[in-house]
Amino acid sequence: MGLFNRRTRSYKKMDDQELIVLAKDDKEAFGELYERYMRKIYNYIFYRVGNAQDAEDLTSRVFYRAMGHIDNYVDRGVPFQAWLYRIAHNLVANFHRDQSRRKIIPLDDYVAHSLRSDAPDRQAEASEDEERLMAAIHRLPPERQQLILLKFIQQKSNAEIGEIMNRTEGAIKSLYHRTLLALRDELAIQELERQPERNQDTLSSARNKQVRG
Amino acid sequence: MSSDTQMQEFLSAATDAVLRGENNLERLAGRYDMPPEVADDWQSLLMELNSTLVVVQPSARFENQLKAELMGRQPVAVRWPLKRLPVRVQLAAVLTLVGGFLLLLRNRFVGGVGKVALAKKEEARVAR
Repeated sequence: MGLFNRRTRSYKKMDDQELIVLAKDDKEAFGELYERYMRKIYNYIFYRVGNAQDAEDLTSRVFYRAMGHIDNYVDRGVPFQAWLYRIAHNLVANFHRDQSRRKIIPLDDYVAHSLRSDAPDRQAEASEDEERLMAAIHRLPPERQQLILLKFIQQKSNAEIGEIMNRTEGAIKSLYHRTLLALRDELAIQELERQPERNQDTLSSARNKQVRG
Repeated sequence: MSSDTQMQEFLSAATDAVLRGENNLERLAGRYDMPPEVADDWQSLLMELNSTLVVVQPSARFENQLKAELMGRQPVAVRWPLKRLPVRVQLAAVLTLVGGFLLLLRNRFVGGVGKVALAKKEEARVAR
């Protein structure tokens, strides 16, 4: 018992690099990395796919893949956490590609509905505004969704997001600006669509502007 | 600083401020030479994003089960993902498995009978 506790405690004090070296032969070391990052990866995936079941499946795949490839992981300026996010991002992209081949329910309806009903710790119903915002976020291109989630859920700095998305800090600031503009336009269009007969002209000009942008 | 760069810097700083729980961005806007209306304009969107995108907790069952599987403390649960599929898909999977098994049995049996029949024919031909 004493030995096990000493080992467990020492894993907690180690940094990621030490754990990665050990994790190549030692599953307990990988377990510590799992403890550190599982919830972050789960949250990222949850908001990208919109329901707990798929988030669980994809989170499992991320960690199985990370464990299977940890021998090949070499820190070339990409922290372990960024490496996990990249695996997650690729798996989510594959997931959406597969879903689009057999999609039955429109994604926005699905996401809004699922977020309301599946989030384990969100007891209250999401408000109409939240649903509108989530639908608008899911209409953004994948890398912009990723940026928004890393900012607001993971509260990462621009430099950290840059490491994950393989861009400079300046490029992240610029992308973030464009993302917020696109989100604001999307919300404005949604607002016009709620009263289509009154706003038909404004709506078509806004959509044209969005297509050109 | 160009107005675009200025706006980018302001939005990054404003987001950090909202994430820290600040709810008045006017002073911050002043630091980036932005009129207060611009701060107001973005504040509501940033605050809405902050209140909508909240951290969710995975279920403890999932968290513990996945860790146990990764640590090799328990075999990967095939039944676990299967159980989450719709009933008709589960039924189809079971029927396919049973059907496949029966097909294998039939082939083996019919194959065996066929071989015996062939051997008998061969014996009869040799005897003649």
